[in-house]
Amino acid sequence: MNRRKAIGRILIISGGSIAAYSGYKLWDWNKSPDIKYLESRKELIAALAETIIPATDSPGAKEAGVDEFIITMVKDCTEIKSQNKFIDGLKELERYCSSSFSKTFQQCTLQQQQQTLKHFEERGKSYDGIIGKVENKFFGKSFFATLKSHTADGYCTSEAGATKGLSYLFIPGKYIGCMPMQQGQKTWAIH
Amino acid sequence: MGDPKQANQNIRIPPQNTFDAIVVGSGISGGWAAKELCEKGLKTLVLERGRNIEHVKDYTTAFMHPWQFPHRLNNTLKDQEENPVQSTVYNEGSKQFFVSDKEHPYIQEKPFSWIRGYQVGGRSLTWGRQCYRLSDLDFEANLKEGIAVDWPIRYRDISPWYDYVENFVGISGKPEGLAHLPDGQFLPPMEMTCVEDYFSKKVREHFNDRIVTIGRIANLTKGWKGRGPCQFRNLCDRGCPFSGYFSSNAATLPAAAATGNMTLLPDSIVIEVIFDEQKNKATGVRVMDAHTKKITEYFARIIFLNASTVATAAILLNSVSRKFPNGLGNTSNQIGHNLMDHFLGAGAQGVFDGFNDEYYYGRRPTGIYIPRFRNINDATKRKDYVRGFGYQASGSRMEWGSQSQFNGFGTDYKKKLLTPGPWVMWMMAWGETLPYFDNRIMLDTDKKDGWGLPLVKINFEYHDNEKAMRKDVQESASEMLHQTGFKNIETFDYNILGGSAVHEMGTARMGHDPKTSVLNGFNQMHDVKNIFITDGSCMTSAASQNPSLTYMALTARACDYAVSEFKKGNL
Repeated sequence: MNRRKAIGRILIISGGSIAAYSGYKLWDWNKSPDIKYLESRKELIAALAETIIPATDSPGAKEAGVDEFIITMVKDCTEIKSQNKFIDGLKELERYCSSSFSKTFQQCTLQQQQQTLKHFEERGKSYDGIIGKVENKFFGKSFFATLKSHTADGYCTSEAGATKGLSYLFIPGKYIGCMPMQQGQKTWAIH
Repeated sequence: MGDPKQANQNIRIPPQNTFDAIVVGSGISGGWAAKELCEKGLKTLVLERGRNIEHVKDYTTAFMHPWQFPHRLNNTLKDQEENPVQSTVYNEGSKQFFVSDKEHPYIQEKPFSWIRGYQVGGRSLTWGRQCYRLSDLDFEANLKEGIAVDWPIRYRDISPWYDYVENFVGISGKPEGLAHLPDGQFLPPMEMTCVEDYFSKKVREHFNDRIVTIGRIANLTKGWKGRGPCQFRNLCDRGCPFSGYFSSNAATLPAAAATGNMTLLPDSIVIEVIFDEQKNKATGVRVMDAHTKKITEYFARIIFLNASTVATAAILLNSVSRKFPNGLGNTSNQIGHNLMDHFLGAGAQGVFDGFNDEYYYGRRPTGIYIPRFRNINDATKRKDYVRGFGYQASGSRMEWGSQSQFNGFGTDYKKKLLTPGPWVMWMMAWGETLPYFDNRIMLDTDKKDGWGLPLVKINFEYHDNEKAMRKDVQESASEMLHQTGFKNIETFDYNILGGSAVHEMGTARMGHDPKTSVLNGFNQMHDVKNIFITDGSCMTSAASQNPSLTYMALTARACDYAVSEFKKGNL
């Protein structure tokens, strides 16, 4: 929360001091990302994704192979500041689990895993509206925001997620503009 | 259609490289020129600077599932770096139909997105497919307002040609009886969603000056001339293996090939039009092979330039001779000027509370349309701007893409993510941009591309009329959503660059007077009578309607005129 407050104050009160405050941070977020580390944490990422989208009556993120997708997206499609924040966030999360529970995230109980994610969700919240947008643009998206959006995208576009979590129409063949929802209707998957 | 041998059979070069007609470009207007000229019996050479795309066979991504794309249809940072312009419109499924910005640079004196598809079929493979007729409200506007020059044609001149091309293209839509957005020859309309239907009825109730109709679109709602029907996959920009929408590849080029009169040469870059001062005619074109860079000259009595608005102007400016030192047919000094595009990016959206038990089936490849309702008559006259805009809109349930940022995670989050969300109505305007002399393309005198051709320089900006209209676009959209019972209404005005509508127009305009325009009422060059130009560069004003249908009608009409002049021995 302190970081958010600090950034908020700087953005609101004096745009000029962004540089002074964040000279080090900006360097930190623009450094060459630690891809080796990222690739070595596939199991951790799979467990994190599964906590966000768990297996229920339909497959969870792990079965859908979302971990692979997250790594690919962070490597190829995520802008450098968000990329560094994601990788640093993973490292921080490992330290958090180790100091709070003396375990890895994967070894934690479901409750501990949820507590951990809750902690990072809270820290990663951006401001509403324009300040949040400016924050994301200058400082990159938070670790949790990147994790969650890549998890959702990866799940919904995976074969398991699209065909079993959502409803997938490969070749609809017709269009009906208005029809009653079916019992337990899932959202249509994208193509 | 889709004959695998088509490409090879088409290469029949006659003695002395001489044809009856040459068509430069195989996109939406070039395809029509090819079809019309071939069907009228002219031996026609069609030159395309890009690679061949064989219908169906070369639609390599058409049947791929989202999970089969390495980045699930997202563009990479490398895409954004190497193709900063094209990557704003392509994705992993359609990338192959857009040029590489790196290989095909141009100079943006002011920011302008020049979206290009160098291949057989051009941008007809990836177009938006919306088809709306212009009317006399559009054709008379310049004259009445004293802006630029008068169109040399009126609606009665083009109306039968709209009928003619619509009958071949196959356009689904609903007749509405509006004088300023004339009805066409329509295939059955697509259905509205329940929220769109509700919105449409409420708009008619609350506003006596506007209507909401289903998009008029070149997707086939029934089988048509051996093509289609549309399968409602909404993957059109990958090329359609069902021929469900109109493209040169699916429709006009096969028709042209079927006559036996067409020779189609891909990988052939037209560098200039050859002009014979003695005869005061164009005699042919000089062509560079895109791979070997070998130069070949081809000759014909009629030349159609359909290279697209910017490229056609560039070819003319690059064709200099003693008589035309500023570019072929440019005594008016208008070539390259008056560049227009529709402005995009402003509108509003709102959420509807209701219809919770209703949904839809299939992926409709169009939205709904709210035709222009400003400056139609005295009652709708605006003080702050001239002309108007049309809204394209859609009302659908929020789906995972926009729902993924809900708070929380775990079982509840998952359930919410996978269940249809509230209904949202989104509306954005396509607005008319006036023809400004200073909005122009030029050729750079120093910088060259990989083929040694001068780089195109684009200088384009919007002015006060467009800015005033943008304000009204947001206010009117918001008002309509309020009046019809939507909640959480937000207006938006994204800073989308000129060119983003991919409706470049105006760089070789039609007009009555050779001193102030490039083409006459039959798209024939005032200065050089055997050159016809029927791509977007001919447009005297932009109107607010999507323009491709008008290019098609003007092309068919110009071909009819050109062939009759040819047969009379006048060309």
